[in-house]
Amino acid sequence: MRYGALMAAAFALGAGRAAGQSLAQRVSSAGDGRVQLRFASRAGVCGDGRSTISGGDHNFMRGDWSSRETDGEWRRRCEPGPVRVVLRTANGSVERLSVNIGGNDSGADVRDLGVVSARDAVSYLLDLARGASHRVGDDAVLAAVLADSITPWPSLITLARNAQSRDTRESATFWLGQAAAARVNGTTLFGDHDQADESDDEAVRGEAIFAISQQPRDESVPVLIRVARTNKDPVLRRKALFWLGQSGDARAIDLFSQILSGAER
Amino acid sequence: MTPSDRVRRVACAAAAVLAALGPSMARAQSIADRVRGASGDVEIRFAARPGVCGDGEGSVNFRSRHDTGNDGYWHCEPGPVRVRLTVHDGAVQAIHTLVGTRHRAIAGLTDLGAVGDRDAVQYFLSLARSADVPVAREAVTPVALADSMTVTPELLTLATERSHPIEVRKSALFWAGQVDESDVSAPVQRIADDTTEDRRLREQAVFVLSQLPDGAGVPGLTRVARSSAEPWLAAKATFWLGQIDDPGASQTLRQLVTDRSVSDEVKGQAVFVLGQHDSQDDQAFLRSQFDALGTKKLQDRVLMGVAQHGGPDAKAWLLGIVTDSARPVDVRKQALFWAGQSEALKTSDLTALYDRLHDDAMQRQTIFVLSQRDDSAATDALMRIARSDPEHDLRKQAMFWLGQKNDPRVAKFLADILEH
Repeated sequence: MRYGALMAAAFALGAGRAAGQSLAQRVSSAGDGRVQLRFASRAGVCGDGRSTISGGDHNFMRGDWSSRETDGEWRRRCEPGPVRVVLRTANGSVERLSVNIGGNDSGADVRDLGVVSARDAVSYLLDLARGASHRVGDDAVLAAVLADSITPWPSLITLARNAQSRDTRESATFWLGQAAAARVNGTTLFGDHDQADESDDEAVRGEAIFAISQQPRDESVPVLIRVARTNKDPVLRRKALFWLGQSGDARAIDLFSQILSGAER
Repeated sequence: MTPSDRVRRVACAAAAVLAALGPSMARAQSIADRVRGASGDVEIRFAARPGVCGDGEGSVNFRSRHDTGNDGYWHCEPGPVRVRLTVHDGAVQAIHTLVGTRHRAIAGLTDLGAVGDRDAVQYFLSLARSADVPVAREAVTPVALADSMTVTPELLTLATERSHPIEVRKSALFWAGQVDESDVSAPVQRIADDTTEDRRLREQAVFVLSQLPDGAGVPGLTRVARSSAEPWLAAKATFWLGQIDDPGASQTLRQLVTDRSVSDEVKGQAVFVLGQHDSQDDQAFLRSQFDALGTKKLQDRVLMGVAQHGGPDAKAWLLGIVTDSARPVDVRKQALFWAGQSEALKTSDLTALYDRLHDDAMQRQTIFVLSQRDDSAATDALMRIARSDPEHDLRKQAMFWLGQKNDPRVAKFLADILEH
């Protein structure tokens, strides 16, 4: 059944491709300069519209993050959506892509395409990431992961294996690892994780996970995969998946594919 | 006949032949005219000063006139000096000076033959005064290598004339100290003392003092190190004093360490160079001064010097500091760090030390020091700590550093921890 669901999701993405292409056409016909589009964001994420995106354990800081800001102030200003992407194009191709949640770029040179469907956006962004340079590919993957109600994992698995840019492949692998960790822990990608205090023994084993991740891949990846699959401790499994996501190893991508097949949270 | 005598006899013979040839050629046309009329790579030859020898390929040795006996350079050819000039449009673009007859042939090289050494000196001095920097700087070398000329006054003049580029002046000052025609310590010291002079030339002067034969520059260096009002210059002099194998120099360095009026910059340099000495007396002196030194920075230099010197005394002393709980932890950690970086402590010493130390900071430092060692015993020690230390934070730290080790046993060890 899970495999069937995976296929259904893949078809759903495929069906959205025509709409995605029309988004590509809209971006293209906007001409060189900056193009802004918005789409619904995944539950659990928020942003300040300019420099920071937050979601679950993740904080993405870019630009002028102020360390003087208190957590309370930040929380009040953190808007839950939508995802806002600004593309900078030149000679018909996307040269830069910035991802924010909330906010608005009202510059005179910005062509605002308004709100588009999350499905069209993900399809367009992952198509873009496939052949893009590392800077564009990396951000396009992030924007796709932030989109609401879409299962990007099958496409991300393809991207992790075949994207032109190594950084894009690594970015896709990272998010697959995060998604797989959420899956085995029964949580959502950007949901609040259980922050219960680790026991001393768990902390030492957690350090051992990190330590083995620093060893040569042929030594570390098989061990991390075994821990991710069979260890009784969900915290250790999550840590193993995290470091597998950092490895970029093909065996790790296979594992993520197996964990994520047919089920998305 | 010693090899050295042989070198000198050959040098004299070569000089005589070249001296006979030189005047007639010089009379016919000056070197400058002949070079100006050439194009591409040209070479001229002239007799080398006694004590100069080379391998013909670029290595040149310059011995003091006071050197005697077999000095290991007997196979070094005593001449001639061969200067290759690259000429374009009548101007010299590059100079390369060689000594000896062995060399690889260069296609297209025009051999202008032998020239008189006096003519050569005048020609190259003229180039040093007038050419652009790379050529002018290199032109000083053949001036210093040429035979039958007293060039020290000319070199010192070149060094002190402020209209010339600093590179040329530094080169001239260097060779004035090398040619060993007379005692130049006084004029060189005047340059070092001249506060209106370019700092780079003054640094060079301090270096030249350290290179003068028979320790002629030691009094000047000592005076600069002790009493210069400029700590940077005093520190340079102190450094070069430390490179001289002279009991008087070592005595001066010790006085600099103990004199409370000496700046920390100079004192630090004195501690550093004494720490590099092999002398047991200097090492013992540094250890004896450790507690009297006012700053951690100075103490750190003592720790480094003693640890690098090694030996039983160093080991005992360092261990004493590491285990002395009355001392500041920072000092104890530094002692352990430097001991671990050197051969002063073996890995077995470190593992024994870990078991003796009971404060967290020192145990952590021991783990770090073990992590920096490449031997398998250090990895064994880290694995033992990671598996069985009662303190889980220490186990975690050992685990972290094990992850950085390139040892096939580590992955197996970590897998075992995770899977059992």
